[in-house]
Amino acid sequence: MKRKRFLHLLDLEGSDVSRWPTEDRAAALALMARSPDARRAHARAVAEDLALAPARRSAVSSDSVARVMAAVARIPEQAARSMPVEPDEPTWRWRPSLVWLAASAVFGVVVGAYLERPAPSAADIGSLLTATLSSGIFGS
Amino acid sequence: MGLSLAGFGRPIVGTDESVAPADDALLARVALGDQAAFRLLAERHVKRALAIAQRTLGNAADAEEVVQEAMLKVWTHAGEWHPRGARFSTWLYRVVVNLALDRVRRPRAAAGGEAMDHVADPAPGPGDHAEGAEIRRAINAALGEMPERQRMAVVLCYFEDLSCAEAARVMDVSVSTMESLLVRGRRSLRGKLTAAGLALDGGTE
Repeated sequence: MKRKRFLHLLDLEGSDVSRWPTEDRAAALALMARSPDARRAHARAVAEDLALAPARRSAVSSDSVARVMAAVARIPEQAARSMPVEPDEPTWRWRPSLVWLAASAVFGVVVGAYLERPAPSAADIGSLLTATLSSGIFGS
Repeated sequence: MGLSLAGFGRPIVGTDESVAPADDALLARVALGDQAAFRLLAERHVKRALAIAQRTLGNAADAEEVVQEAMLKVWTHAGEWHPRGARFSTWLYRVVVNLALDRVRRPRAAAGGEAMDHVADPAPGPGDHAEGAEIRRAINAALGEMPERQRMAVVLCYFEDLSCAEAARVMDVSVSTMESLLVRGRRSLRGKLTAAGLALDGGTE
């Protein structure tokens, strides 16, 4: 094993060589046996791991966990409240459309009946308007 | 006696009461609106999710909000999750990491790309032991100065002890990329802590 690979594994796997990949352990131990530089690097890594050990322990307090768990317990209810509400009966949306559809049908029948007659006179047009208005499609 | 699942009336454990239900099984029940399963899932993962968020953000209050937001996503999106060989914890940590990094980026963008000093919280949290308080603050400050991906590699692998493979899945990068980020991140952390005056080598020559 080369020094560069050894230093790479120290940073990647930590100072505990027993946790290194199996295929690298023997070569690492052999390098340390013959290289004072490798031994120094390993000793520095062990010291660093020891120095950082307190900081590696979880800093999460039990109060913090309890607060999150209390919030988690409220999530289902909160999520249910924030769901969009569907309108009960959206019938108001199509009722006016039906009225206008019926009115258009009546108007079309009346106009169609008059168009079948040749060249309507002014009196005919007046009758048409009267009939249309009297049909009540524009409201009473 | 096994725990009862709300709305199902079936035991939350299998016939062998010593066997806890797998995360996937709990998540399937969560998708059906089972609050007891949701709580059990949270009990398993909230502490580590908090630890990851706290190390990423540098303070406990923001970390709590991030984990609550992540758990809300679990509740509302449980039905959309399909394991395909992935672990629930990996998915949860990814959500936590993404939400936490979003928070880290937000003030930085607002400040016009200023340094990330806000990441470090100099005040010790309620669970901060005196023994590790000083070095914890120094580490928070150092992590806050590191590039995002290096910081997450160090947080996930070195401090939270995830394997490189799992951390790679959390960060959605290849294992070799994660290894490279971890090595560079640890060297960067060492340099910053040493520059801050912390004796990491124990006086070793």
